[in-house]
Amino acid sequence: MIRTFNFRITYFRLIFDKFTLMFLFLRTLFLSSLLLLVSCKPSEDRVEITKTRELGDFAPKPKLGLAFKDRVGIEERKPESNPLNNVSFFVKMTGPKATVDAEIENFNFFCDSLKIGEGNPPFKWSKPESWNEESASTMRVANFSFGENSLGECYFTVLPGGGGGLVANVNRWRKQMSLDELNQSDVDALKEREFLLGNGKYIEMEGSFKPVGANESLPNYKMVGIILPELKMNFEK
Amino acid sequence: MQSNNSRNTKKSFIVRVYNFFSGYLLAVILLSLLLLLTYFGTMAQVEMGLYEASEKYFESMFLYQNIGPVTIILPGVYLVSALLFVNLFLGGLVRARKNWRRPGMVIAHFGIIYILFAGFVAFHYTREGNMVLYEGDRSDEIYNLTEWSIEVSKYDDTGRPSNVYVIGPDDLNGLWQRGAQKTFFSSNIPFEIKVSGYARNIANGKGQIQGLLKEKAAIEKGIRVVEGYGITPVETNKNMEFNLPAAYFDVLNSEGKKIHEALIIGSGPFAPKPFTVDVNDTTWSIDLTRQKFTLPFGIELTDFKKEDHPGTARAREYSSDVIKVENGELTDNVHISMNQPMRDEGYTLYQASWGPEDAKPGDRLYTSLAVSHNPADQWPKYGTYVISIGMTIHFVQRLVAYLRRSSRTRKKNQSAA
Repeated sequence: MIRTFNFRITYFRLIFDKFTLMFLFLRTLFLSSLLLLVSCKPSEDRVEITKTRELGDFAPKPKLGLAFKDRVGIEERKPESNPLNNVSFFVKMTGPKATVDAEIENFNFFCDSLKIGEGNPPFKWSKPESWNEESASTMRVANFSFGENSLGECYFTVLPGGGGGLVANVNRWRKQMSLDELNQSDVDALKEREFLLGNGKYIEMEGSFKPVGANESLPNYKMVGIILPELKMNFEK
Repeated sequence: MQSNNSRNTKKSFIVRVYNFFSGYLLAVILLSLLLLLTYFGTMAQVEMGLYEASEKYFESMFLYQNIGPVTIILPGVYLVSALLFVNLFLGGLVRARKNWRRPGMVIAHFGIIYILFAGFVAFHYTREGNMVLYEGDRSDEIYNLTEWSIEVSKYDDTGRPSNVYVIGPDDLNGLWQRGAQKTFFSSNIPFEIKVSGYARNIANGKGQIQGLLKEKAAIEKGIRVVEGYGITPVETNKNMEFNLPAAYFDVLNSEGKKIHEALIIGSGPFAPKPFTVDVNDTTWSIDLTRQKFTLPFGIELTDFKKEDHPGTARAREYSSDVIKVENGELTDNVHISMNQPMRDEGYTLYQASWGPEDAKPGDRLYTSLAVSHNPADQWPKYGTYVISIGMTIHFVQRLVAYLRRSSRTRKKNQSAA
């Protein structure tokens, strides 16, 4: 009995000591981090250059005495007689039908948020919370995936010129959905929808979706999109 | 008597600290932290990219971590690993009982400590970079894809740099904070360089210089204009190699008076076009460039081969035939392929990639070799061997002891029967 009691006393002292030390350890961590915070202020240092590098025997010879534009490779563009360019805008959402149906609100949210902004190309938008941002490319200014296994996708494309024209683009999309082509009057009859800088044609279709480059079609898919063709714009800043 | 007591107390405190730093409690805390940091660091790579996540979680002493709405401060993997090194050294080697019954565990602990030390050496002393070569090209310089530096070069009469002074990535650290500026000087350079407005990235993901503003746009935003342009930082790319830095450079004379100013954008390694200044009848250049290292030998690409998957433009296999050039002479022929690097003079050259990405059939291709100089390159392998030997000895000893015990028990039972 006495041995058990002594053992308990020793055991608790041991734990107490260890936790005291752990507290000390954590306190040191905390104080060090405070010091780190203080040292994070913007610096205005004077720094001596101490390192040198031996130039390689095969190092390319630099071009000296260039002005900024030549160093960066900026070419002055001559003003064109007509600075306005025809530009077409496309936003397209595809995926399994159930996924697309569930994401219509997010699609509308994204389309409504899309505005002319800064940069090149000069657009800004808000990403729906549940969508994943995918890397942009030349063809996809904004690019998202969503849904189970990220099977759903939505992207925004800007093409100079007419991009082949409204009818050709509608039929290109219909072909992707394994649907028959529409003629001019069918396309004219499509619903209009306010988008970006004007009224675009709203397209909604269901079918077997064949992604670009794929050999097989994916059944029971849905595509929703807006095409705003041949808008005159000036992207010069 | 009193002083004797206080000495005992002091001694016991030191012993307690020693016991704590060599004890299991600290080991458990540190291993738990490592587990936690590895999880946070791995998850953060999705949002931050590999480079920034590594920098924040694995190369830092401390970091902020948001857990829901709460922000906590955690030690970084660097600090945790250093403490683990101390803990294993004190607990696994110094404090551990060292006798012939337990050599295995001591050896295994030594192996782990050795691997931690290898990590330290690799982190601080590794030189990494890439070398890009077209067929027939020679190079003895590699450039780091993620780190940038400023090179100040003095030119001789032939138009070649005679001295290159380097302001390394460590010196540039922190310059991207709002309002930060640094002035760099050297007794060998007749001017000082003040760097301000440093933007870590001014390009978007498509390589367009989005953060470079024309004079009018820059003035409207209150941004400094130099040489007709201003810069504003854009969000850094997750892949650090795609980031393009830029900064304002003021060249000051010995009295601190500005004699030149420039806006310098990070330059590529192939056709350097640095900012040039003439001071005291000598030509100098200042370049913001990917950090460069010079190899002790050169490489000439004699042949690059790429095989595609049938019917596609996707590369199945690619390799480079190179010749080592040393002291102006062609020496060894080496074939470098995906799993067959070239190892020479402490450098390892791996086949990394090829380009240009959008090359059409028949276009001229280049090879990209990843070059690494890591003094601890093979140490983790040796460490693993040491741990394996230690564990083997330990388990064999345990097995033998168990078999002996079993045999004794069996004999005892037999004699009792």
